[in-house]
Amino acid sequence: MAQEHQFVLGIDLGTTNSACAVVQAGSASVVRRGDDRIIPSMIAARSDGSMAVGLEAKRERLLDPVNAIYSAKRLIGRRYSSPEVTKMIESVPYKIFEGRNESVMVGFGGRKLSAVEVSSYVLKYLRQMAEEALGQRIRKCVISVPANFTDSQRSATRISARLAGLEVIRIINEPTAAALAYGYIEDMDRRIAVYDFGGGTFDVTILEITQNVFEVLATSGEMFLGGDDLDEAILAAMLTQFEEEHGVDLHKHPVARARLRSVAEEVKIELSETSQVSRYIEGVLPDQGKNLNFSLTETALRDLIGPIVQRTVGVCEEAMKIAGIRREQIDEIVLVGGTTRIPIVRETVQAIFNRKPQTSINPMSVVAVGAAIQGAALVGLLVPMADGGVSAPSMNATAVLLDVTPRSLAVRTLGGNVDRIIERNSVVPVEQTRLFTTTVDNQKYVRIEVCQGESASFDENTKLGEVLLSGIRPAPRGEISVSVTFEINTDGLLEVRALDGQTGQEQTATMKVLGGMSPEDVEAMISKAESEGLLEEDGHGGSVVAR
Amino acid sequence: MAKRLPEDIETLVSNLEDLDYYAILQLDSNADYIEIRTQFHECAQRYHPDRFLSAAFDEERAKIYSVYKRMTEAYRVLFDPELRVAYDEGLRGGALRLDPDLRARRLTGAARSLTSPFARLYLNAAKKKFDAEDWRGAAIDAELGLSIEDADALKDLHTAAVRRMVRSGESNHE
Ligand SMILES: Nc1ncnc2c1ncn2[C@@H]1O[C@H](COP(=O)(O)OP(=O)(O)OP(=O)(O)O)[C@@H](O)[C@H]1O
Ligand SMILES: [Mg+2]
Repeated sequence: MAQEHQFVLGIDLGTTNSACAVVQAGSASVVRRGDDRIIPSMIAARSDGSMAVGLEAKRERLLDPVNAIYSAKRLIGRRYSSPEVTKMIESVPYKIFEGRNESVMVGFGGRKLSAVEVSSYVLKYLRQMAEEALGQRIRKCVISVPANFTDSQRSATRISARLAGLEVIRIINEPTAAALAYGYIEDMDRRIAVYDFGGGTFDVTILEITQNVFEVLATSGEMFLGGDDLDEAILAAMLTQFEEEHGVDLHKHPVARARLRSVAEEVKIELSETSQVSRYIEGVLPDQGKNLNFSLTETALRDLIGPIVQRTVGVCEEAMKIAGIRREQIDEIVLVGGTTRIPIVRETVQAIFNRKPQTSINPMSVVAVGAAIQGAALVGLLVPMADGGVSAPSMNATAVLLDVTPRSLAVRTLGGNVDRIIERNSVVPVEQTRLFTTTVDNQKYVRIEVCQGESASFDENTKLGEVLLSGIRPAPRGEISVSVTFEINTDGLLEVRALDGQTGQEQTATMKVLGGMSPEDVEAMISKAESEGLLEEDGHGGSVVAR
Repeated sequence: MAKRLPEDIETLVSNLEDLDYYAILQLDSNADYIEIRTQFHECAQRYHPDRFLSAAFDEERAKIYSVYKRMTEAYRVLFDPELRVAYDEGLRGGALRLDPDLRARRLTGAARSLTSPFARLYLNAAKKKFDAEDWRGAAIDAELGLSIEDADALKDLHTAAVRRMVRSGESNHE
């Protein structure tokens, strides 16, 4: 067997942008294609029916917003009827509808894709980008997800990667990856706050590192708070100016607005470096030739976005509260996400924690770098031995990630409340067992609804799915008890097993993950992708990749 | 040819059902909480399944996983003062693992809002004293809890206890 070096791709699959990195000759570098390192997490259908991914898709979106899919990360592994998906349906121009098993599908350019597939296109793009750069096939990856991702979101992400021809050797929390990139592992114990202000979401996570062991103490966030909101604020200023100058309200002109929004983003980004930016936009309304001369100073930007940035303060305070620590007990602040490039954001962070944040690594690629570092550590640990065994793992300074369950796992009670099975912040793997008893005579099956979250009311949590216990012995009610074991493994994935409480016989327990795909669906999709050569084919310039 | 894991792991695997929580974490039965935590971290460094990811044999991986899973179970129980008391009692009667029912203890109300099991212990103690109208004792316990975790439940109890203490102090000065 020819042994070429096994690269493990570290992937940051973001809501807005994605990036990947690898460790080469002992140091991590971000993969690039030309000058591009950051790829918009977007796919679009061109008018000729072909598919655009990344930057090209972002360009397509300007021309034809209905046929470009973005923010798929907000949909992946969620139920169609969840509040987040409902909110997305209201706010995006593309079509979202319900697929099998309460999963989420999107429609564009005459196609229908599941959210999992949308992400798999982005992942495949990243994989091919890395393969071009490294000149070899890449099979393995470490992929990062937000610390608060549920079981179904994690497993959906994993399936996406499989569809993209990648084996996920480890799922890692984004903030943990960011901390790894800064190499905190090598020195003393400390507490780190990771402040992640991206395109669409804001998260803050407090980590504790002791003896090379990483623990997530707390994570809080806002699902809809990010750079996009800042763009909107600038756009609003543009629209007001346009209306004052031309007497035209652009709210009814989606294409003009989309164009101005992208100018707003450019202005915002430039203002991170300079004190004033001016833009002359010709033909805002193409048929009427009306122009806009827009300028903004950094000071004026502060007034525009200050209130939005201020919303991160409370979230940080909440995280410290959940972690049970005061800001003086935090040793380092790590910045993640493009929005943390803005001076007023950095100042806000400094005010919250009373400490200067770390900025030496690009906040838009720091997560990918950390994932790559962990990937290299994981495959570098064991040396296969001649007799086919393995040598003891070396005890060098590589991190062990002691993940905890981000949210409690619970089941529905008769009254619609929850009975918590696994408490939040339990070190994984963790298993807990509960007895369930039949409530009617000769009951044939027991249905158990499972959710994740902290609310006492079942419906206020994220429903994960249902466990169905079937093939129960006929008996009067209350006589049969089934002991059900819920286990969350080291990847944060849930498994369910059941035993007949009296006979000790294994009982069939099937876990139906809502918003996810059944194993059969996944296999079917993968074999379809394989037969169509989707996993191997290279859509960019036809460089041949050896199998 | 049989594939083999390092000796110490094979030994742990074959003895897994004969080891109590202290033994699996290689701890003394009177270990304090800092020792428990430190030792668990040592074990995690050595036995976390991630350390064996490239052992491409499912059987070996499953073995490691079962060892490490028992370690996290032991840690969860021993690191929680309430569960540890229950465990130690059972262990004297020969139960090597804590009963699944007790292990899956349900936390309620205020206790859930605390992260640290120690802060929780103080909260419970403070509550008991409060109910027994030992205001001073309750205030001290709540304060001890607060030195571990800055939690609202503890603050509220502390305030309430101090208030009662002041009031009863006044009425004692007749
Ligand atoms: N130099 C800059 N100054 C200000 N904002 C910037 C800068 N560079 C990028 N951004 C903004 O950062 C956002 C994208 O950040 P990032 O790529 O980290 O998001 P993401 O991780 O994909 O999103 P999310 O955190 O929502 O999952 C965009 O809103 C973009 O406009
Ligand atoms: Mg991000």
